Amino acid sequence: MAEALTAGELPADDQKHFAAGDQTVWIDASPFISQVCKDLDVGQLVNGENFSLFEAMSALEIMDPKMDAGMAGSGVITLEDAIDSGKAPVNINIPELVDVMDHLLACEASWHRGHSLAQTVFSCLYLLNLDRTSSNALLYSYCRTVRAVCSMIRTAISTVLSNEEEDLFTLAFGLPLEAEGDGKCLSALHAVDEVVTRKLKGSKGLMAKKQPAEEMEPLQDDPTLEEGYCQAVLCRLRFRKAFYHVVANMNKAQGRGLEMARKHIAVALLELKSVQKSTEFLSRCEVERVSQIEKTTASGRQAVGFDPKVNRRVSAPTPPRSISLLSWEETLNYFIKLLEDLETITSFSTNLSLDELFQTLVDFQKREPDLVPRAFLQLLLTQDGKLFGRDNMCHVLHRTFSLPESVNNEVFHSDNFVSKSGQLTLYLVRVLCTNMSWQHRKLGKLLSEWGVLLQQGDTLFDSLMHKTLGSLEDKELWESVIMGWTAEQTCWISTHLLMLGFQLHLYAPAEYCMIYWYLDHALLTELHYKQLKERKHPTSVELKERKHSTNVETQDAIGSHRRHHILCSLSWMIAALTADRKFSEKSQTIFNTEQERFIQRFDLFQKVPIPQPLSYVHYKKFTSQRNIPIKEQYFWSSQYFMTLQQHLQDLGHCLAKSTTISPFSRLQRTREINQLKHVASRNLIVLKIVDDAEPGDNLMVSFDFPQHPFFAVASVKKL
Amino acid sequence: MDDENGAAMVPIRYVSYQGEEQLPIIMSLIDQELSEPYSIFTYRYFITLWPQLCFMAFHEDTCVGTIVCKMGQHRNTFRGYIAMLVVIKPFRGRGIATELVTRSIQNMRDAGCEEVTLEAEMHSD
Repeated sequence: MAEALTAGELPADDQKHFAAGDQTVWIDASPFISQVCKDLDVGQLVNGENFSLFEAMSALEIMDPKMDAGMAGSGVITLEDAIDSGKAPVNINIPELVDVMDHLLACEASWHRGHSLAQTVFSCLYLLNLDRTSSNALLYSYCRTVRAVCSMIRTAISTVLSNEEEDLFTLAFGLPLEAEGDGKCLSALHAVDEVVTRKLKGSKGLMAKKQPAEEMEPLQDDPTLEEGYCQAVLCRLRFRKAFYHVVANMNKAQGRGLEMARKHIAVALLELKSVQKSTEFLSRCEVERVSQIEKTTASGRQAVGFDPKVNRRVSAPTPPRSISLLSWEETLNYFIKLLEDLETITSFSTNLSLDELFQTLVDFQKREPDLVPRAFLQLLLTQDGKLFGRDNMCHVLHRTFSLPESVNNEVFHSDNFVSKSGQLTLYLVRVLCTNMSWQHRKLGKLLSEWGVLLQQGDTLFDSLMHKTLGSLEDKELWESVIMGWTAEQTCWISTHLLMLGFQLHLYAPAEYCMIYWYLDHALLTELHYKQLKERKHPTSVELKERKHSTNVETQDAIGSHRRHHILCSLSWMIAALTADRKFSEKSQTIFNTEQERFIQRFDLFQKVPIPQPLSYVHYKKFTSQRNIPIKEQYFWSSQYFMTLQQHLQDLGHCLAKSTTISPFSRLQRTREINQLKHVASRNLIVLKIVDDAEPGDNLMVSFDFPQHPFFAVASVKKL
Repeated sequence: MDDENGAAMVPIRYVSYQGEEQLPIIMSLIDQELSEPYSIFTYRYFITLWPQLCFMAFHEDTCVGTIVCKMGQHRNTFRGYIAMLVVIKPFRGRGIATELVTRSIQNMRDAGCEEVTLEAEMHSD
């Protein structure tokens, strides 16, 4: 076969164009390969030794539109070529400028959402060479501010390090993100703001009283559109300015910038509303109607000055996949949500107790915030390894335990138990700021570490008790306070971990009963330690107040019983339904027995001393070995639900009367009360139906989560 | 072999991967449904090495679902991995994916796997 290949195979012309060395010539191998292919049977492969999954996954099929980003649009282009061929004109008119601003905003939102800088913000040719736009003050100042804001956000995200590539791309690959003097971009923005404001006044004829000598050059050519365009440009400039201030203030350590951030967020939201309103005006001027889903600008026109392919060679080793940017509507919604989430963060007090902080974090996560607000929250709470960037964890623990002043600070700080607990607590705060999947993963590991702390308690504790707190009387009391607190945190992590499983859809319906049952156990253990803390706190002034308090938080803490009631009622309900053959989900799959599933679910908890590990045997005792008639089980389940309803009523009254609760917490508690009321009432109805029915599988009950994310609601069907 | 999937359901045929002729069907189905693009090399890697873990679901002559897997030693365990799982929209909610997964896992278990893993995307909406 090789004899067929000679230099003569290649047409003479082509030989001239291909470089060849002394000992080498180019040969057209196509006929050779075709021949070889014919020799292979269908399904036979040639497999290189070093070609495995990694190589397969990195390979691209050229010209496949999904894989080959170059297929989108035409031609390869460098920045210089693009500029030379007029793709980034500096003297653009006002409508075009607005389009650039809008498309850039869409790019920014797309970057936040996980696409690379190269294909989003830096697909803007103006940003790639900002200096050449300096003659267009509006364009220049706007772009410069965008760059400065992106740089600040990137720094914040890189500092907290709680994201994966898919969340937000921090690598800039040498793109010009940092630049000297960007901190001064605001003065340039302010200057153009003033100019446009004057033009707006001019367009409204308010300048009539001015001397005619002062000629006001309009923003653009059409006098009928002047006011509209002035407003459109102005609200965009002002939004950009406000957003810059928001980000700059959120970046300030120890929450020093929260107050100011709040003010600027309000401004930014207002301006964003104006931007939204301007969409109607801008798209009216446009003849061609672009579909809502595709357009990335208010006008619907494609913006000039962008080319997603211009950075192809600058990006990661593998060529980038083609991406689709967020649409104009999605962009606006993204920024509105972002600002509202940041606003919520600015409303948090920086003097919260640990318990209050954990609850606040759990509540905040219910808003499903994106990475950017979560990153700022984490920055606020854990910068420099201190709580709120300000409090050393040992101080925090000193305060949490309400230790008397007589305990020597220095000795306390150098105690191993104290520093270890402090570390673990701060880490817990960090984890609670991340997304749910990340939380679930890290909490599992964290739980093991807290378990180790409890187990090592003896050795670490001896030193704490005898050296650090040696000067105190009632050492046993302090021992139970501190160990109790550690046990309480461990239980809290256990319950939170189990509840996250519902939100991540990790459990099959057949597992709900065992999960609720174990969750109830963990929660009761947590309550036990909470109550010990309430009773045994020796110097707590609050204790006296608490007994007579209608304070919501107190009621809430003591009334965590409501969670116990609902867990009890649900686990009893499902166990009874299973025994009655009305709950159709099989607890055995063809691959695992119920026992194996139990072991898999609770393996982690078996290795932690508190809450006390429960075995499958315990579970079976609960579900099937009790000699309680089914009807009685239904009765008890209903009783728990009804007690819950009473509790919710009481809590609602407290909530209404409370003056100390923050608006954010009030909203969360109210929402939860309503959700639980719904769960209770619906389940009570189903219980009545199954109780009235004949025993056996004449009805089928299934569970869903229409209201509360982890307390299920039953529905029943006739079979 | 015909499998009936509950009352009032159209019969779905489950077929184990037999050969090269089926590869284009699998590739086009997965390309269509999943956002992650795979090169032909990736398909070949999984399907050539573990054909017994690849199944297709047919409704009459149309392939409506497919699964692609691998298995191997991972640290101290012999573990299966589900790489791609697809059922076209109109046929979802009928237990087809469950059946495809069950068949693959059965073969994994018979080959000695102690656990099976997969990755799933979290969608914010």
